[in-house]
Amino acid sequence: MPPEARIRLRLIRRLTRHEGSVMKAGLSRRTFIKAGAAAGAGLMFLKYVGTSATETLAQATAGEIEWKPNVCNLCPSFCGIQVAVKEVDGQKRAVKIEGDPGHSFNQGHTCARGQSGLRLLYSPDRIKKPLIRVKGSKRGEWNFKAVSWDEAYKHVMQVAQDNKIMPWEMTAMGGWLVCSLYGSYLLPFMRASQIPNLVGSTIQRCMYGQVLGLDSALGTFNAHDEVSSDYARAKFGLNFRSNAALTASTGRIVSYTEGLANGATVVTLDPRLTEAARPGEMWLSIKPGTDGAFLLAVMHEILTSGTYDAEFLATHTNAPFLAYMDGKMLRLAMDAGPNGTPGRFYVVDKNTGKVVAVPGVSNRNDKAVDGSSVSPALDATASWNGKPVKSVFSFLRERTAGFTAEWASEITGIDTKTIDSVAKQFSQTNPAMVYSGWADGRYDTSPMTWKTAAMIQALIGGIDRPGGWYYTGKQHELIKDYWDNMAKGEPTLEPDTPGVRLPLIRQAIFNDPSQWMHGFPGISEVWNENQRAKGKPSVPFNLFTDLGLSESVEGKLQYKGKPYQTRAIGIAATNPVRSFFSSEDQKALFSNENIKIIVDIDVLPTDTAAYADVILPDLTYLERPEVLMDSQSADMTFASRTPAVPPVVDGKHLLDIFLDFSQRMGSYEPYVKTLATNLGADPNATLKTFNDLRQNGRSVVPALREMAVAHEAPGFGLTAEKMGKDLEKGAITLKTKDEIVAESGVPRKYPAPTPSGRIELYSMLFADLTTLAGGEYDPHMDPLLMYTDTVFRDGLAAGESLGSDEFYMTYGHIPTMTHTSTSDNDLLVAVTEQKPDLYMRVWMNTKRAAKLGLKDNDTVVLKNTRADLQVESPIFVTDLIRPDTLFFPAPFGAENKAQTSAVGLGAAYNKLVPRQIEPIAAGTMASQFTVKVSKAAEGKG
Amino acid sequence: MARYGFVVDLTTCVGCNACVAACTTENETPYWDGLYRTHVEDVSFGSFPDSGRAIIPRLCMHCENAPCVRVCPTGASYKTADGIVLVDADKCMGCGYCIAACPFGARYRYEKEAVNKANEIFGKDAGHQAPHVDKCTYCVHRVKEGREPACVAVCPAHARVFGDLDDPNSEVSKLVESGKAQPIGDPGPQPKTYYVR
Amino acid sequence: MIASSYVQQSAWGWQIAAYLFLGGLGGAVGALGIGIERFVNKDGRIGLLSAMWGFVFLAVGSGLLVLDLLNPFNAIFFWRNPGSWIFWGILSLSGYLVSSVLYSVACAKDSPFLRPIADTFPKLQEWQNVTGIVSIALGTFVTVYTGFLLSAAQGIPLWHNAGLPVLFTISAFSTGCAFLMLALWSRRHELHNLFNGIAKLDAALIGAEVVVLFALYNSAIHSGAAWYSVNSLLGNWVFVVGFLALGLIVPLAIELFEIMSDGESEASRMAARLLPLVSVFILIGGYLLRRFMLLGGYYQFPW
Repeated sequence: MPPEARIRLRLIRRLTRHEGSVMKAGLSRRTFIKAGAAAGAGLMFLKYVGTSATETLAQATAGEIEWKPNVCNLCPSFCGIQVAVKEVDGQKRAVKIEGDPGHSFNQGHTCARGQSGLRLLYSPDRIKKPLIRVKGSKRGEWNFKAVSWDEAYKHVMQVAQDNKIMPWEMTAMGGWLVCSLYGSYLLPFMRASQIPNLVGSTIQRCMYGQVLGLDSALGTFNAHDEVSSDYARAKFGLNFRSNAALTASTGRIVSYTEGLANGATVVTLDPRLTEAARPGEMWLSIKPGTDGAFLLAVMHEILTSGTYDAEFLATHTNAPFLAYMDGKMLRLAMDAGPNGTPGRFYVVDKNTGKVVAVPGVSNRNDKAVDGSSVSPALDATASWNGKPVKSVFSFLRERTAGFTAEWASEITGIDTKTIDSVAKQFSQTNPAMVYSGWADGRYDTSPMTWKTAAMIQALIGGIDRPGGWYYTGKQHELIKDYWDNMAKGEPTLEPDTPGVRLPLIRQAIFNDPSQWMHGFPGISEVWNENQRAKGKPSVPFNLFTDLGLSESVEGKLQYKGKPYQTRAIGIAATNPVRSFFSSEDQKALFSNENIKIIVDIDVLPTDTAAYADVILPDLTYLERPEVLMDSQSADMTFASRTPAVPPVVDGKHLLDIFLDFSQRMGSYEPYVKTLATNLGADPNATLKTFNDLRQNGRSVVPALREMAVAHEAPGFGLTAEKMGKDLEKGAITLKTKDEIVAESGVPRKYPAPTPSGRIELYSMLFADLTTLAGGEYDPHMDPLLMYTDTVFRDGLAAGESLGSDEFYMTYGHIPTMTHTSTSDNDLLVAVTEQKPDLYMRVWMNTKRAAKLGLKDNDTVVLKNTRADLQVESPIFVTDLIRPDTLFFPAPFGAENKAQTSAVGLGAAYNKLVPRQIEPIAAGTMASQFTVKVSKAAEGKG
Repeated sequence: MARYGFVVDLTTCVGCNACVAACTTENETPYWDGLYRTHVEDVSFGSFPDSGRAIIPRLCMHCENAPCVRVCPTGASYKTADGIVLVDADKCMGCGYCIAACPFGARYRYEKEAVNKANEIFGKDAGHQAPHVDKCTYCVHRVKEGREPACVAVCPAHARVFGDLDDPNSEVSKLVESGKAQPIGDPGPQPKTYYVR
Repeated sequence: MIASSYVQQSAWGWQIAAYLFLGGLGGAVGALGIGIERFVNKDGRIGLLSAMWGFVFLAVGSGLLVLDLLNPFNAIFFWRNPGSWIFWGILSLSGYLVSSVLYSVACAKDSPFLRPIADTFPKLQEWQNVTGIVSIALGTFVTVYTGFLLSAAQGIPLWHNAGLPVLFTISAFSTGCAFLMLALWSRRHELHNLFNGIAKLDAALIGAEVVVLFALYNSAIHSGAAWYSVNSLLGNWVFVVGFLALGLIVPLAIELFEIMSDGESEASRMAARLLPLVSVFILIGGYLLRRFMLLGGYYQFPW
């Protein structure tokens, strides 16, 4: 609690140009500082007699310090850090975390969360030993007894055995840690163990809304891991739906503010004045869900003013490809190639006016299939196979013809002149950049919105060049090797497949019954089949989604006439009860007695852990060795972890736990051999190494790292030994982005991982999705571009006004707290509580609040108008948000009392989020509803 | 002899609060009581849609003519030859006069209970072993070793700059000399922490 | 200025308010009482009573101060900075504690019960003038410095002005008068003239106090934080009723009435009988004034 009473009267002058106005402020809580205690005064005198006169100095990094390299794990930015370790009372203690200057992403800095990692390591709330639920207690109750690892494993296997649980009746759930870092280590376990079900919590919640759209043009998959916006060198930036990405993710803060310092003009679209918006040139309070319209106005300006990069478009994108309408669906003129890969595309040669065939997979359109030179026309009309065809670019012009600033103004609520001015500025500045954001599981229009952003970048040639979107260093490596291998006729190891090609391979495996010995494909695919059988929409990109899971748990899912039950769930580093659709649904799912065993692997007693039967303590990043990690930088940086201190709890590394399970499930050998093969190591030698390590109670992770280093080092002209030794000191940057791009820039030097190898304005992936979804055209996944309104509830078409007590609902993160990993941290909580209004309450516009008779810090009930869901929260009455919108800071609402710092703080957003999924990939649409607000009854909140 | 000063760049601060967390872990301050050596103020003004927001990191000004030094009876509060204002815990009796006298709210009491808890939170040899009045020290223990203050080193936005005001090549002196960085608040104490707006 | 906010100071709480009150009261009681004994009414009992009550108040006040310290043992370093008001405060207060005892021993000669003590230290009787005048000076200094102490806080507009030290000095002497009237109540008929004199002095002091308060109010109207402070005080009923009404206006009214009346009428006699109550109100008001000056102390920060 702040010690001083804070009563503010604001007489303020704007930082920049305008005159401010006097504003009355509300009173906030008052507390008094405690006076020095009278008791113990005698002891006080005794204690301090005779101390020598020294200065009062901070001590954390003074004295004997050992620095250990590590990679932060408070969020998926994975910034490189160095940990200061001291000997205190004969024991090693981690005393400070600092940024690793050798890591090109965060460049020696960290954010508040990274600084607070020590408080995760030493949190009193940590799971200290394996836990088994006390007999008689119910899931949801925090009632466990500590046991040994052996006992815990035995118990799990016993339950599985007693209930004859089959592999397809198991589902694994993983969070961003598993998704971003351990995917290639978990999947072989699942394959070897014949478990076809994996639910990635980030998949529907944050990734698919954004990534599939953005990635459809670039061929990448996990945008924030694979695409790096060069904020530092963009002269004009357009930022939308992004706050924490720029104010919490350290590497992005570094680059973003470098751009600002270099004089970049940044325009931010956001319903509220965020921390990210504040230092920029302009903040435009846009109506929620309408950013796509704004972007289309920018695209319109680029197309009509001719400021697009014609050379780039003609040569490296599929803008010149000829296409035709097939009903509502736009299709490319093409010939299929072998194995379903593209064979040929067609363009009109500017010089001859003739239709020419260009290669199906390439990064260039300037050489025809017969080897002759081509100058593809961007605007083209022709005839092909008797069909009238036009270039993709021509279609794009047609489709965007009406997307004027005036049109966008109607939809976004921003005035025409401003939109026009921003669009002109964007198109006339070189380089301009749309910021590539991070997560957006908000609307069913999100994929198309981000596709629009990616297309704008493509139009201006803003890919792999200064002030544009770079593929990360790692992606470049994968892309280059992939195409080089292909040219040589050599295969690429599965985990080294670049971009979106990898999940497509994985989806094919998980959805294909013939890939599984028991013949059961993943539940999400079965759900799809059932949907199609009923004539209902199926979800084409269903990899690692939760589709069908609750039906399967409830016993309502059938496959080939047999029930497809889920009777065991294994959870690793994710918190669905707090972070997934509808908290109550998640609790009901886990409480279902059809599930005989729930195992949760985590560091802290999360709200989901309370629903487990067995909890296994993971180790924090500060206490464990690690596999080889790359980075989100466009430079090629590798990093890893050296334990700063010995484990504080009786925990194990996640990967060792997977191996423990695989040993008991009989999948150990194939699992280990696949791991070895994936890293280019000898399977039998690896088996022996692992056996030796495990027999001596040691982690295999250092060995995995060695193998990965041996796999990587030669590609950079290093010996494995040198690279390994350097990693023990800290992050290593082997190539800069400019060096990488000069050698293997995409698409100028190498094809993109898209199906055609070009940057795709027309997304072949999206076209395939329509086919996969059953063939019926859905504008949300139009392969080129189609605008759809974001509909917040039935009856609320564009133009209709909200009810007097009705608001749009937005949510997001705050710079100090973003994920479950950051929430039960006493230091982060303390820093967050310094600004309880801004950070922890629901934002409501001053005038609306006044109209509803609400005061600052009143508790209100928010009722979802689309579902029977509600939540209570105190409000922050402010002028920083538009009148029709509320903002809900999301990382709060912990209920498990074992989280002593987080419990009872703020409100839980997912109590308000219904199960509504967008059509492409079942993304969460977590902002796509309105709420009605009423004052909560007295005594509540 | 150096004359240390500080510049806060308000134009790039994104309110990440890394500085607060870094200072706290570096200097082992009682965050559980809501007490810090540095803060990030966040004020809003104006009416929508012309509203604005100012994010203002603040710390001790290490004034040339520091009121806190002037009012301290025991001389525990003093300024070093290179311009860093410090508190000698071995002389501080904790009367709080300096807290009242500081026009920038830079000081607070590090109480006995906090000292005890610090040993628990930060480890047995936590830096603060006696109750005293505490404040930002420009991380003098780091400066002595040629390192930057913790808040400066951590800041991803380069919104904090530290250096010798008398060194014409230092970034701080250039910012101050050019007039880009100005003091804020009461100029009487001659604060050495400047702000770029 | 980028922005402006007013934040309540939390450096000094009720212990300091009590010390400021007791310091002002003790110093004033000592100075007044000893002054009366030396120059007006050579009654050793008055001198002894005043000096010793002054001693008690200052001792208790100091005790509270010490308890409020984080690390009292380091108070031995108080001499290191003469630039600090606390240096002067400790010096003058300790000085008074010593000199008042020395003086009181000499005064004891007028007390049948305590005369033996006085006789044990005949030298002190010789030096009574010195010890007396020194005690008056030190007592006055203690009273005056309590106001100047706060004025050094240049970030708190309510404290950092010319008026506050004047206000505190006047108020302290008013409380000193009030206490003396209470302490001498049993001898009020015997010391009838002295009593009247003290009451007149107190009325004048309160009158002056009202003027100074108004002056502070007037200058605060046009200043941000000072106005915020003043406003917060005026909005507090304890301050308005406890200090302004009961601590100032009511005592002033009753005292004036008592002074101006002839002492014969029923009303006049009642007023006279109310004087002890008036004294209590003034004393309570004196504490409240200091408590609220501390509570109302808002920093004006540039953010």
